[in-house]
Amino acid sequence: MATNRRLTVAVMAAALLSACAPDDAERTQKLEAANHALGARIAALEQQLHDQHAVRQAELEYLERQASIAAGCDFLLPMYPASITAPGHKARSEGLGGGAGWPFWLAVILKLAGLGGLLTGSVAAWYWLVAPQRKTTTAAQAAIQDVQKNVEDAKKTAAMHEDKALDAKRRTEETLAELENTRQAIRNARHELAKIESDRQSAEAAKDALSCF
Amino acid sequence: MARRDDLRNAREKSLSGRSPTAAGRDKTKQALDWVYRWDWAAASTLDSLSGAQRRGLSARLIKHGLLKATRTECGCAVKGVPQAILTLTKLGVTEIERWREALLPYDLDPYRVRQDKIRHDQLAQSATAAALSAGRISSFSTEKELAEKSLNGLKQPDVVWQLPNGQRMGIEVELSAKWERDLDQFVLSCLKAIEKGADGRARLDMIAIVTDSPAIAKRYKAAFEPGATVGLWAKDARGRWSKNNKIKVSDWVKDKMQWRLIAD
Repeated sequence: MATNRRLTVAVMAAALLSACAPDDAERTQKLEAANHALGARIAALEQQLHDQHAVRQAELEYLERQASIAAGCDFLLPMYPASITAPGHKARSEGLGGGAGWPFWLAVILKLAGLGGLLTGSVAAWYWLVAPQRKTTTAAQAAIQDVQKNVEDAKKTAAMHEDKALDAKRRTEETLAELENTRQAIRNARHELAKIESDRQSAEAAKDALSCF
Repeated sequence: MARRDDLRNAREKSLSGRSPTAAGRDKTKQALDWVYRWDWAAASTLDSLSGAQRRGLSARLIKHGLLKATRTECGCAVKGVPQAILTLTKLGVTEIERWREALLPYDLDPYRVRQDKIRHDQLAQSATAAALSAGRISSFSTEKELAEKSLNGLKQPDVVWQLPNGQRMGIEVELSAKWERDLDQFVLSCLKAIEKGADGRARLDMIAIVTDSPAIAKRYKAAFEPGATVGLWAKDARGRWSKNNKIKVSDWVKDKMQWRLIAD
């Protein structure tokens, strides 16, 4: 392709030269300079193209890998976070990936291992942590039920005691009322006694005076 | 010596810090006042008032023309009736009315004094003088004084004694029995005297019936017994008394009655 380009440029340069006016040496020198410049430029562009090809190739390989990883991650059950699978998904949406290379199988294996480990850990946790906790929870629930029953019994007992207390209060009030009545009766009796004593003294004074007859 | 001391002490007690002249004047006033209130008095009564050991006040007052003595009809033939009664002369009335705050009507005629009531009145007077001297009463009011204050002509007791505790006791000396209307009216007048009025107060706090007859005492006690019937008398169109209603003696009357049977 580089050769074809050079050839094309040369033919064009010849055509141009054939159509040019008598000042051919100067013109030829100019054309040769231009040709030389163009050739340098072409070499630079080719180098640039080569470099870019490598970069693009590396980029394509990277995206292929990412696509494989994403495919492996999505195999059976998607469970990898988006931060890992996002580049792969984007590559796949652009038409890359589809092969079952080592990244794919690595992701699958890791996933399966992780799932297995998770399962194993869950079962282990179940037997080591949850099962005893369930036993403890059941025992605690039984204990809570016992406590609730005790609380209800205590409430019944408290209600019974409250009735007794109210009854005792009522009887106390009755007793106090009776006591007040008794006190009033005593006051009345004292008043009556004072009156009787006064009457007695009056009668004594009267008899004493009448003894002058 | 002891006798002289006793006499001196008695004299000092009698004078009570007064001069002999002042003490004599007070005794005169007391005697004249007594006769003025009772209409008459026995010499023994006047002398007992003065607390004198010897009888001399009455004679002195007669001598000075303030009192005059009039012989009673039965003289000393009936026990308890004085030989003579002393009444005020005109001079005596003038003299006592100089000092009194309240005036009373006074009849100067000694023969207006009812002879049949002399023993009755003498008993009341002598007992009053004795009670006063002994400090068993603080003051008294005669029937004449009570009648003067009463506006509605109510029958008054023979004398009203004021006891040291402030209670007023009416004295009724009953030496002869009352019957029928007289007894009913006597009981009714006593009940009215000790019954509380609309203002919640009674004229007298108690009534004492004094008699020398056990039969009268028994009859009168029965008449005042709670539940006993008392007839209400009024004059009819022809002016004759008739019993038109009756009341019963209440329970509370018993506590207001006193009885005194005089030993003969």
